[in-house]
Amino acid sequence: MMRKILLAAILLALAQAVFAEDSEQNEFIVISKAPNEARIAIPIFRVEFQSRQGFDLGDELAALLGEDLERSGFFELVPRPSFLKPRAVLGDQEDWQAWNLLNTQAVVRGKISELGSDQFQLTLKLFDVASQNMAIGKTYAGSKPSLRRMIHRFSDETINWLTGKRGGFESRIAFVSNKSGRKEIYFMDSDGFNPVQMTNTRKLNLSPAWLDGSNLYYVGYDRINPDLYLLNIYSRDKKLVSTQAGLNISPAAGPSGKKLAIAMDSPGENLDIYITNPDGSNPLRVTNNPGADLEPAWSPDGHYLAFVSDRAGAPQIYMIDVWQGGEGTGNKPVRLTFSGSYNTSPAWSPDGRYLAYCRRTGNQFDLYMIDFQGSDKRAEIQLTSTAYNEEDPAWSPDGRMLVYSANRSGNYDLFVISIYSKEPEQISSWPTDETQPSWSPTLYEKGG
Amino acid sequence: MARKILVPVFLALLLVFAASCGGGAKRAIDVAQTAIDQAKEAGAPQYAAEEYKSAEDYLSKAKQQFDERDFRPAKTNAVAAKDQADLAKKRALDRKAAAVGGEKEGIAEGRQPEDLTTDYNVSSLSEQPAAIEDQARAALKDVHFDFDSSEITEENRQILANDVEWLEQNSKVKVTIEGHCDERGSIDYNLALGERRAKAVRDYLVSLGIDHRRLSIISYGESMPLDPGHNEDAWAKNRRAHFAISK
Repeated sequence: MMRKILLAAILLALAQAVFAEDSEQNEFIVISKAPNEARIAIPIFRVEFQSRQGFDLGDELAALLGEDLERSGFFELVPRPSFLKPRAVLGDQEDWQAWNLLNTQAVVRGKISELGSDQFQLTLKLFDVASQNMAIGKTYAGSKPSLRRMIHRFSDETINWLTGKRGGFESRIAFVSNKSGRKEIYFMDSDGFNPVQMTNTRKLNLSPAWLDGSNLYYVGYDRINPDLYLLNIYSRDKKLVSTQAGLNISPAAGPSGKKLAIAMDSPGENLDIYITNPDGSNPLRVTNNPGADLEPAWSPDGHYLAFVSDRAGAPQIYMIDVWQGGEGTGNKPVRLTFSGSYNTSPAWSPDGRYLAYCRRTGNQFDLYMIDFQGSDKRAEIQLTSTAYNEEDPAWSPDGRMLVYSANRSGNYDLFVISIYSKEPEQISSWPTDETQPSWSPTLYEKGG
Repeated sequence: MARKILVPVFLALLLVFAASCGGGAKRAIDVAQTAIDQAKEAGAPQYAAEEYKSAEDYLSKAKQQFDERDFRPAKTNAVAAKDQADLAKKRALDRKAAAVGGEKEGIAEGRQPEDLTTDYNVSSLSEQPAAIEDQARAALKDVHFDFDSSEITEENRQILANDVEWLEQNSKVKVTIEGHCDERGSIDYNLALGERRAKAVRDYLVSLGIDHRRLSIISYGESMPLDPGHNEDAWAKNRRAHFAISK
């Protein structure tokens, strides 16, 4: 009894400390089912040109913005039927009182106009109800297919307004699909739209991993041996990166794309982790153990690699300090997972706080995270617990969401989950297996 | 009914107990010793000297490890000794018979199979590759594994003994050993596991005397299932090492 009281007191003190520290920043305080979701209203965007299709466009784009913001876990949409009262007055004047009555923190108004043939202009404004001011105002121009991307960019701006950190919706997700009968590499927008097939070798293609917004590593069996390739998604040129006899797998680009970590067969031995230049040159051996070492995942500062090893029998996740060089008597990998007999697929969050991974329990696979900064040292957080499998976690560039593959419908589809709302949303629905997603960096900086 | 369940459970417990205190290793050493004695009787020291010596070497290593209480490697080496001894015995008997026949017909011992292959090549050059592939498909059986395991089980050994026989009879043929997994688990980890399975089979074949230059390996992980189902039956079929003729 005494112990329980003491524990409660300590927890309370800790909680207060955490809240005090983070009171200004509205995130990373707790991961709970219901973070303080801001209520936002997004009336249908005004379409300023004559076209039946144009009216649908205003509805579609407003809905897309709503989906992004809800998916982020930071916003709750004010339902459309509640909008009857508030109306936009001329200029930037809103019916503030009505929005206040609806507990609305922000209102987004949009208008679409036609500039020429297949050239559109999208103007979006976010109004802060509390200050009765326009907080964000943006005008984008481009062809029809680029309209969705404008919305994603504005979603990222809106998340930045609320949290002080940009969202990651303006990005792409690469994955493997056997839609054509063989496993080939594809990518699509972060919301599942505009899928594009990248390889068509009719052989096996696996494990895509972005180097930057336009280049992808993947494993291909073109020359029978599983070699590592680097593919430019615009020119579709591909270069061989690693061709060691045996496996060349698990590519992972390091911070700023300056290094590449892979798993490769050490001649006469077995699978080990290597760090190479981005083009595969100058491989340096990291692990040195009779077990198989694979699936390296960089810490965001490039200081550590998390990886999977079966050195203790079953696959478990370890971590090694790569600034100290390779594995040796002075640099032993630290084991991170102790529960469960099968832990794989580590993925380090971009802020370094979490390591997401996949655990097998019986015949079921679920997603977990290690919290490196929790009050409990390396606390484990279970992200999913369903009757089907969740596997292959990969972080969004803003570190707030994970994409993963799950066989909820029998076959594997891709899903995203906000680590705040923990509500999964399906983003692919082909009848085939879509697996091994990799989330690109944000495309915003490049502007392309 | 209860008895039917109890007996295997009791036996299993006994086995576990025996293995943990080295009884398994001791028994394997005894079995290997018997096999070597039989090989000797069959004339192995003369007719299959290499294999016979290899069996003796494995056994003495096993005995040494057993004395040092290294039970697990001791058992592994004892099993290898028995396999080598059985092989030595079989080859000795075959060669002895061939030698007796050969003396009668004046054909030098041991050259017969190779000459036959050469003749075969000359007589039907164009058809030979396809025919060999068909033969291989029929003769070289897959071996199967437990979940997350690459262990060559007793059942696998029997299958591989037949595979070895075919490989010996077709000494010009090179094969690729493909390692496969069931769909459960990480795709990359299954690539590593598939490779481990292919390597385990290769190493076992090499230990039985197949030239390692004739054997290459490749892992496809879980990506080339034999049975596309999502149940234990399909998974069991898919956890396999498969032989393909190398081009």
